[in-house]
Amino acid sequence: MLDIAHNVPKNHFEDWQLELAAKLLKDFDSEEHNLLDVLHFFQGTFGYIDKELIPLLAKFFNLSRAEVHGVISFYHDFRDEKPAAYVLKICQAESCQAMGSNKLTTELKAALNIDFHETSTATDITLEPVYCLGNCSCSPNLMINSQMFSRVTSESLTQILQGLTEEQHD
Amino acid sequence: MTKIYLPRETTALSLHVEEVILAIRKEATKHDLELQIIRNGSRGAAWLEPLLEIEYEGKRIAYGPIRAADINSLFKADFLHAGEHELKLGAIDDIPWFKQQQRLTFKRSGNTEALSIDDYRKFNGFAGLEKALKSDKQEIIQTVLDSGLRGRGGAAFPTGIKWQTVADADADCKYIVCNADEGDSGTFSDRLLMEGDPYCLIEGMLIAGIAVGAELGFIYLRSEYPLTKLILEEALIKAREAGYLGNKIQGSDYNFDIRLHIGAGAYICGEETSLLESLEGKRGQVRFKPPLPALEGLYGKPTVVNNVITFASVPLILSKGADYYANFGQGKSLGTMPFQLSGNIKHGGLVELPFGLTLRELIEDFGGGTYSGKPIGAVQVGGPLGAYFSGDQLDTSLDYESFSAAGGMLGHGGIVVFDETVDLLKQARFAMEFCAIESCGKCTPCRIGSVRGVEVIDQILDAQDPSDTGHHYELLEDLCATLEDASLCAMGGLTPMPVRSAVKLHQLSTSTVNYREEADQ
Repeated sequence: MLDIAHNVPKNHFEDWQLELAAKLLKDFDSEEHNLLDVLHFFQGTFGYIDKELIPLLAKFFNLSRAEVHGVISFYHDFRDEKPAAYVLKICQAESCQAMGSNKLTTELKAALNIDFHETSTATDITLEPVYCLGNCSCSPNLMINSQMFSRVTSESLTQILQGLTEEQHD
Repeated sequence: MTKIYLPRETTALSLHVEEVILAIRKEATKHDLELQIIRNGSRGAAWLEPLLEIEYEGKRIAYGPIRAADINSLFKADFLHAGEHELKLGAIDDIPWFKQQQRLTFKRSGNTEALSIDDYRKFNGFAGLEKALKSDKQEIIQTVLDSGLRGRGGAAFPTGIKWQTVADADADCKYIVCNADEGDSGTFSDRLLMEGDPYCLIEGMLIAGIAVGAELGFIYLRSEYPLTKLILEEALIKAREAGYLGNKIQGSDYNFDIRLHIGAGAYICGEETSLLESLEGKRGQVRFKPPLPALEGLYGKPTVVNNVITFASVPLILSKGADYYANFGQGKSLGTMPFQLSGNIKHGGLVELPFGLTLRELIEDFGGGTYSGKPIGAVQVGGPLGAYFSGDQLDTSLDYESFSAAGGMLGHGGIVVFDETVDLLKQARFAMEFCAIESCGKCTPCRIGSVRGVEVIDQILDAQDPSDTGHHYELLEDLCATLEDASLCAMGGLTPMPVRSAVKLHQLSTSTVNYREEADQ
């Protein structure tokens, strides 16, 4: 029934290469793009923001390395480690709470045997909290990479996880 | 060739609309039928999604909610000719949930192919722009002032006054910024508008640009909306191709373009000064006010910062006139509001109505009560910084003034329903916890006070003897007062609203329980 779980595309990231990053940065214009745009791009390419990128960006935007680091650490989205093939974000906000997201979160953590911000290597899933995905009238919600799942129940959660792990064996 | 409408919208996608489309195509090929599948926006009835519509004898006939497994039986029932089926809802305009609404801002969404400029024009699109191009700048601002439109993001500041301030500011360069960082839990009207009617937002920003003399606009979209990003990107390209963005808009002397920027998961960036910092590529820390962003905003230039729905309300105000819009609503809350029903609700979604109906009418008549079928335990209105109301307080009128008088706020129009299983003390704890997680850290009351708030509530929750928690409640109230009085922005300043209201309702319910227990003895 939940075949769609098989359709969640896996994250594919390049291995970190400083030379490649320096080359890619040339496509940006420091007038038109801001630091967040560039950070999003590199996180999309490499899966995370490597420390080596910081001096590069500092020079490009004429900022101090501390300022660049300050921006990276301020925002929840940016990570300093490569995530798994699937990033699963489960909503922790009020509307989903009203529909049992707390219980669902406990079950999810138990099923993956990890806490938030951790990766389960067995299932290739990185687990993250999120505060509202904007699909509140069909709570509770979770998002795997860019695919949203709504009205999630204990049963459908099991099916979704099964779908993801089966995919890896395909 | 039969036209089938199926939304390309986040809710429909989360309910597997793409699988439905695959199933329809497969079945159509089998029967050698030619179909045209049009991707419209959502009509906001999330409980009916995926909502399928067919065009039949000049009418739009709806079926829903559709699963891929229903497609076979729908073909058997000849749904392409409006055949009878258990999922048939009838002509879309006759469905009470839609019929009883008064849609102004969301009039088009669902009716049109979201990304078709021709469709947009067919449904009165760009009529506001045409008016603006023929008007004097001051006439445009006066129309917005006269309409009584107030910022729909939450703060409800009169839009016309903001525009006037920016227009009157003396500067070589001015900006338009659209706040699409819709972070409040229980709100999704910005997303529905952007996904279902993106040109309406573009038109609104364009009119603002003309009115205040700005040539560049920015949309700051939250990163949690990946589909919205794709749709906006496509819409901006198409609008440029059609001469609605770029130099010499529609042959006029006006230039205007829009850039899309994506946030990075920080709730605080919905606060306008934090948003501006973030747009400049910095940490999203709140700025001191004054100076107002209207005078010193993005890169220190006069800037209009408005919410998506505020901009999207403007085209109609221009095309139909200020009076038309101001005739809806009551008191100082004029026009309509797209209310959003969510949480534990049977018929959740977006309901656009003039201000002034009661919370009960919205939750019971439109929402159909709780999803679980249990009695209502609490309702939070206005996002994570809004107050909790009990099931007995539902007769509050939905307008800015009444909500303020009742100790709450309407905010962005989000309404989250909880059934009786809600633990209000835990909700109060969550409000503090959320503030601790999302605080930008600039001011102490919000950064530290929220952490202390969580600790105090934990002590209340862990207390062996509930009668011995008075001093904890006193401390909590003291913290709330500090947060309210001394925080730099609404994040810290309003966190006490959900905390106090939830604690009050918790205390009321426990004292009632104690009273009942005593009476039973």
